[in-house]
Amino acid sequence: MKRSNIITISLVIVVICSGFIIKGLNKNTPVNDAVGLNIGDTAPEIEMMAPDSTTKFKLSDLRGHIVLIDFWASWCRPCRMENPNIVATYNKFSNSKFNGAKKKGFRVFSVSLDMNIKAWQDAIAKDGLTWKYHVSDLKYWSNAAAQTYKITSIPNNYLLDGNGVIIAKNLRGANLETELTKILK
Amino acid sequence: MSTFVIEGGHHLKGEITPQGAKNETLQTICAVLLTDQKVTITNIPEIHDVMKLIEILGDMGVTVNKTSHGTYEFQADQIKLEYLQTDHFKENAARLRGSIMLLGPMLARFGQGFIPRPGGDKIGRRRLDTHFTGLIKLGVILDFEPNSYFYRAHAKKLVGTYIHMDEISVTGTANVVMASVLAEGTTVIYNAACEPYLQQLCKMLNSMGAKIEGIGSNRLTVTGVKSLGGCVHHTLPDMIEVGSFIGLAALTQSELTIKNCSLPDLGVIPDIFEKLGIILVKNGDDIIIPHQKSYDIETFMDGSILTVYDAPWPGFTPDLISIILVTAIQAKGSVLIHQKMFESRLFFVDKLIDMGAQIILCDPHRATVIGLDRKYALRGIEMTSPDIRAGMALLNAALSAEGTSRIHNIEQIDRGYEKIDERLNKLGARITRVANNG
Repeated sequence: MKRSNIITISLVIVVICSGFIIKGLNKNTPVNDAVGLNIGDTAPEIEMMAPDSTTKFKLSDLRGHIVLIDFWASWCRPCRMENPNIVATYNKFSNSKFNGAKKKGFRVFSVSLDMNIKAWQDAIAKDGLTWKYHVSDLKYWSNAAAQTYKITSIPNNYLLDGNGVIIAKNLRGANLETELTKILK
Repeated sequence: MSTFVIEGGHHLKGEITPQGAKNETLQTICAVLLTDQKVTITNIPEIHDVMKLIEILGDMGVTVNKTSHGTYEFQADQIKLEYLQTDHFKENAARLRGSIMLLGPMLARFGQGFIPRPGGDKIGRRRLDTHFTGLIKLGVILDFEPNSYFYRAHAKKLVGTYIHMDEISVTGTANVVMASVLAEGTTVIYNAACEPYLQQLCKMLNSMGAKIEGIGSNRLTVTGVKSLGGCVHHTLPDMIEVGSFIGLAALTQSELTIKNCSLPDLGVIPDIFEKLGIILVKNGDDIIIPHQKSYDIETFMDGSILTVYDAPWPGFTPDLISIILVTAIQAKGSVLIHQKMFESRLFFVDKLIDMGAQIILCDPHRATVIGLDRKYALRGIEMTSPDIRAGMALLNAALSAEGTSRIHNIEQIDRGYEKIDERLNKLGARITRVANNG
């Protein structure tokens, strides 16, 4: 390798590193790349099977949108009672523009703790959960995403901004709409 | 009173799954009182203390529906407040320490609560001041009737405030959290207990619609909400069972796999057993304890004798101190066991000394165990179980001993461990349950 090349590469590395340092030092624009479950953390990735048992969806497919990760199950009655609220909110905001999201439209990423695929599919149809993103590994409480998100009670949800950063948690009833209205453009 | 007859000295082998956590369930089933909606809890351990509390809820007017083993639906939409003033309630609740946690939710939802002075383990004095101080700060007026040993609590409304708990108490924190979720305004609870089972309660309450922040820390911020809804909650595995089985495997030279331990929620428990020299293989969420002829107790870095002591979470749980003590009997080396949190839990070492263990009881809080390194086995004897945890520790000792042991008063073991005889017999143990003192 030529000496000039080595110098150029070193310079590039120095410039990149200093960029990170400056980014890290600037307290006015907090940068949180840390993956975690607290507000301000980037939500952990979820990759799981759709109800057609062939397609796989990733949470990061929805990057750019305001996203609600909703943990539920067909056998969870309180979750089913909550569903009309999520459907209404989805319909109301599915084309809205939000602060903190490049793409328009509120999206729901539903993670089911079901064990029985038929029960899961039927509940989606019956409750009119018309959005595309439904996933499950049919492992009940051992669902991989539920483990990652430390879910031991449902219903349970996380609201993410366009960067996949958690902005609110556990929004039940009218709280979901209230929270979305706050960031509406 | 029933008795276990144990033929000791057999190696065990196989897989065992820990039951749901008792100390979590006692909290979460009280929380069902906070809503008129249906709450379902899964992985409930069907043990005496839990079933008794469920029975009390039923008597109070909660609709209880068992849908499968360990899964119960609760609906508290028709609470009979007058029942709380009956002698029947007083008698039942007084026998069960967990019943104190009925008070917080009752005050939150109905503005009144009645509770007799509760019972529980005979492991030293346990005060209730922490519960009451917290509740009084929220606006509760408390009357104690010295003649009937009955507490009457009432409040027009609960108002959020700053509460610095005078000691780290799990049940005390649970009570104050449950009282504050429906209070007006914001409650900050500092010096709160932060163990996994309290975190589970808080997560369950949040799923029901509560707003609790700081879960897992010693500072909880609770923003009051108007009402709570239902949820489905799954109970964590019991860390005390996990620890008891690790100790049992090491002591009896058994190869055991403990399934679904929820490793991240075990805190320092595996580390403490590793300090006794026990090899633990972590495989996914399972712990495998291989057959070990000998285990060598570590010393501190300066060569001094290892001390194991209990402390509130994230320290080592007091509920496993007696298990650690018994496990050390056959280790190579010495360990000082220091039970800081309770003063009467070490007296059971008398029985272990009778079995041949080398233990010096220094005072009510400390015991030194000089490991036998299997130079000889313990011998079976006749004994009585004083409390839940010592009972399980004595059972471990008896399973490792040569000859037959009898443990009386095993109701104390049944209070905390579901069908322990059946489950261990499946692994090769020989335990017979004999009713009426056999």
